[in-house]
Formats: sequence, C-alpha cells, structure tokens
Amino acid sequence: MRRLTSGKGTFVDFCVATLTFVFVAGCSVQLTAPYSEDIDSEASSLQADFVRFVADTQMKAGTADAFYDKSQQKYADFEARLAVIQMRSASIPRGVPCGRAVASAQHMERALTGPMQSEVLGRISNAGSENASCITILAVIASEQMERLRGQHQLRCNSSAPPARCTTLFSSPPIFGVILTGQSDAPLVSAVSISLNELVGAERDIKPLPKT
Amino acid sequence: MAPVPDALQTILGALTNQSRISFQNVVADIDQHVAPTMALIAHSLTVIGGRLADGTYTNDIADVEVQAQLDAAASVIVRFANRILKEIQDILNAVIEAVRDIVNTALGISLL
Repeated sequence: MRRLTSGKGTFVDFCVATLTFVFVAGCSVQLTAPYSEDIDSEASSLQADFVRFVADTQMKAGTADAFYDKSQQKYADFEARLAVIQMRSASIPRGVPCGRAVASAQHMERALTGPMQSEVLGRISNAGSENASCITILAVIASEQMERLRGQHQLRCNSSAPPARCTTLFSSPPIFGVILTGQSDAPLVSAVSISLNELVGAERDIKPLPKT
Repeated sequence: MAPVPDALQTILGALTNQSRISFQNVVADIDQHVAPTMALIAHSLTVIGGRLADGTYTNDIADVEVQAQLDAAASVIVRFANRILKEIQDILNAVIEAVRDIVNTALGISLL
C-alpha cells in the first residue's frame, strides 16, 4: 500500500491508476460480443433440429422420400432462424472486430499454417462487415453453408438425378458417423454441422461463469 | 533484490493465475477440439477428391463441397479467435478485480 500512497510516480502506480480509471469509469474490459441467451438457445435448438433432419433424410436417401421438394420447408425454416440469429448478433455490441482477433490467433494456432491458410483467412474477411463480431461472422458462414446444402439437395435429390448423387450427399446411418467421427462420407453435411457447432460453441464460450 | 510491494504482488498474482488458467484452456481447446475438427475436414477433402477421381462427382459438385470445407475451417478458426479474445478479457478483468480490492482495502471503504 505504501507505493500507492507515497506519491512517487512509479510504473506500478501508473498501471494501477490507469486500471483504477477504467474501473471508476464503470468499465470492465469487454473484448468479445456480450453473451446472448437468445442467440445461445436459438442456435442450440437450430443445431438439434438440423441433426434430426439429417438423420431422418439419411434413412430415406436414395428414395423419393428424400427428394428436395419434401424438405423445402425445412430449409426455409433453418435459413430464417439463421437470419434471426445474424440480425440479433449484429444488433448488440460487437467487441473487438473479429478480423483483428483472427490475425492475432494466426500467430498462435498451428492449424492455421498450411496451404489452406490464405484461402481460409480470405474467406473470413469476406464474411460480414470489416468490424463484425466473431458471432456475426459465424452466423453468416452458417447461413451460407445451409444455402449451399439446400442448393445441392435440390440439384441431387430429385426424380431426374441418379440416386447415388443423393446418397453421397447424406451418406447412410448412423448420424454420428457424419457429424462426430473423423470418417464422414457426407462431406457437405459434415461441413454444415461443423459451422453450426462452432456457432453454438462460440456463444457458449463467452457465457460468463457463475461467480463463486 | 528489492522486496516486491504488496500491491504489485497482488496484481501480478492475479495476472499470472488467470493467464495460467486461460492458456491451459486454449491449449486444451486446440488438442480436444480444433485439431480433431480440422482432421474431419481433411478427411472430407480426401473423400471429395476420391469421388471426383472416380466420376461420382462432377467438377461443379466438387467445387461446392470443397468451398464448404473451407468455410467449415473458417468457422473453426473464427471460434478459436473468439475464444482467445475471451481469455484475454478474463485476464484483464482479473487484474482489474485485483486493483479494485487493493484500492478498497487501502481506503477502508468499498469505493469501487
């Protein structure tokens, strides 16, 4: 305590004073977007509904029951819900722009080194606005993934397409073979599942821990 | 070596404790989530390549599916970046909390 009250201008005093100012100004540090229970519950229920939809479609793949026209409403529902998540996320404080955080993470993450690096980083910078939060960018990517799956379902699961086109889109049961293990035979469904899971996980990551 | 002042020691303690926790979390996240998910994406790319080679996929289908894998990888990286922001945020707030305790103790009242 002596250092705080001695009046000598040490570096520690400066840091303490600065942090004290931050606190007096009513600010704790908020670098991420704030946690949103709405987004958390909406994204979680969407993910569960999507997995149920894929599990059901897997059972029917190769038959007329898996044709796109029978699933159109599901896609409309999924895409509408993703749009709501995106709008909610864009309407709350964004924290530090995610692009800047990605640039920092690039120095720490070994998975970011390799031939895919520039393409993946380019993709991130194209998703959402320059200042978007990570949650908004994840919602944008998940929406685009869902639209990609809708387009392929329409193209590959219909009366004029060979049945193999549809079975390779959804693979065969069990569902955890597509979304959980490292051996997915339904690459597009697996990619959509990953993007949805990252959206759900990212929102959970920023959930404040209960005070002990 | 000069004795470390109590205030500095408290702040450094908060900083190092929270940093240790935060970076353990980040390392665990890489091992348990990021690396396995990237392996799943790598496997998917192999499947796409095989199907393109044996004629199961057209070029257009392969292009769409490869783009989806890149987007999946981008999602993993964006979440990871978000996680790092959260850990840095926790470290800074732990320091602020320590400063608050020091100031309140020094003043003998709950000013902050």
